[in-house]
Amino acid sequence: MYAFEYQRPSDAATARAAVSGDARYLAGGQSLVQAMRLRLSRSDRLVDLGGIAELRAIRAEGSGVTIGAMATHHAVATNADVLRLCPAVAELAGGIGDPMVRSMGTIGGAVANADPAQCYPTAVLALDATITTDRRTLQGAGFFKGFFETALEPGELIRSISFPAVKTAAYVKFKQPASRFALVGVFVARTDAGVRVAVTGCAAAVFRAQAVEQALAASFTPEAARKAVVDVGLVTGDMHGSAEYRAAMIPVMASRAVEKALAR
Amino acid sequence: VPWGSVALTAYVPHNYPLETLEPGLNENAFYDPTNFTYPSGSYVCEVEVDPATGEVHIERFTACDDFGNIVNPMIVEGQVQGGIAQGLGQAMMEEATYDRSTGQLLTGSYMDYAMPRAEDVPNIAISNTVTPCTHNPLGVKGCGEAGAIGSPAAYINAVTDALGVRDLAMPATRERVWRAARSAAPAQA
Repeated sequence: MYAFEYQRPSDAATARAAVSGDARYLAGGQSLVQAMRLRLSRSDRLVDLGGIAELRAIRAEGSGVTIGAMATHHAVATNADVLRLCPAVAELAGGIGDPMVRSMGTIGGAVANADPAQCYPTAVLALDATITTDRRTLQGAGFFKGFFETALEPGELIRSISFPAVKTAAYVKFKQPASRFALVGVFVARTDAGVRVAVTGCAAAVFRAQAVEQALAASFTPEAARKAVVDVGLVTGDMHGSAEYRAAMIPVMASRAVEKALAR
Repeated sequence: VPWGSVALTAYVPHNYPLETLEPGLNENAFYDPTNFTYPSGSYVCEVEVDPATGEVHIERFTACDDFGNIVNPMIVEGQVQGGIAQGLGQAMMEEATYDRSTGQLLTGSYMDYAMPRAEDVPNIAISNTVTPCTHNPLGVKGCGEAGAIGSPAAYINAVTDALGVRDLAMPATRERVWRAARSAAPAQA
């Protein structure tokens, strides 16, 4: 690890002012600190957002739930409003990493990081969540641009992420056997906007599996999902699973998610 | 001379003929057995395979070994259990992978090198028969590697039997099992 300066402001305005050049926000550090430890990442200054109470709040709002960027995965998984309004999001958060990761990692940190095998991006995309930053609001549908790449500008700070209430939704993670990140993670949601199926772990960024969506729009059943065929060309393979294998697992995980969603 | 004085003098050499003798008290002896020992055993593994994904769940694992006379049963059980977990790791997931074009190790950390965890290893029913070894005075046999030797064979035999295929390369990853399931039963693909 290279030497760096560390700041922990207690309000968002000070944090924003402190981030310039290659300074970075520290939002739990479950990916960033590991990358720095391995010298894959270097920053002269980390601005820890953990001391800013206003960024941690979770509240029911409008027809959904608004989750502060610094809410930990554990906080999201156990929050009564999230459990009531978006049970699939709570369940997804409760399956991230291990108890230590869930106690430190945050939703804002995860979404800003945009790891291609992360869980949260599927919920953000499938539910078209609203991402509120210090400058504007962004929609989940256009947020994830590529490999660790989002629509955020340099220094832009996520304040909160709002999910619309949804009952018939579920996330299923088929774990990579070593890291236990998603080899194939599928979030299925049936909302007023239609059926959305978002997939992680299978490409540079999260994407919607339209073949599965169409099958489920016709018949929202596990059998319909299972019969869908995902184009191998949408999927990237690696040593933990070929593109062909991953593409074949998407309908299977989608069918498991439909089963869970219908059981709520 | 009492034994305690000899030990103390050897261990605290402040009044010791250092020019002629090294401090300390050592003796080495080797027991050279007249023959190898031949532990034996039988392992039974029962699995459930999901042909849609290649996931394998171990329903039951039963191990019975004959290590001759057992001096410390708790240590022996731990050896067998650890060995079985090690063997299952080899059979299910452990694989050192190198990049074909550069020779770079790709499984350089536990983020990529898969080790079995508690959820992968079942509770194991361990038992013993005791047939004392006839050519050493303790009647004992080796036990260290038994678990790691028996468990991959039991596991792979269970999976190939479930799939109706003849062979399966180790580690039998989920993808390999899935491919084998598809080749065995094209109608299910």
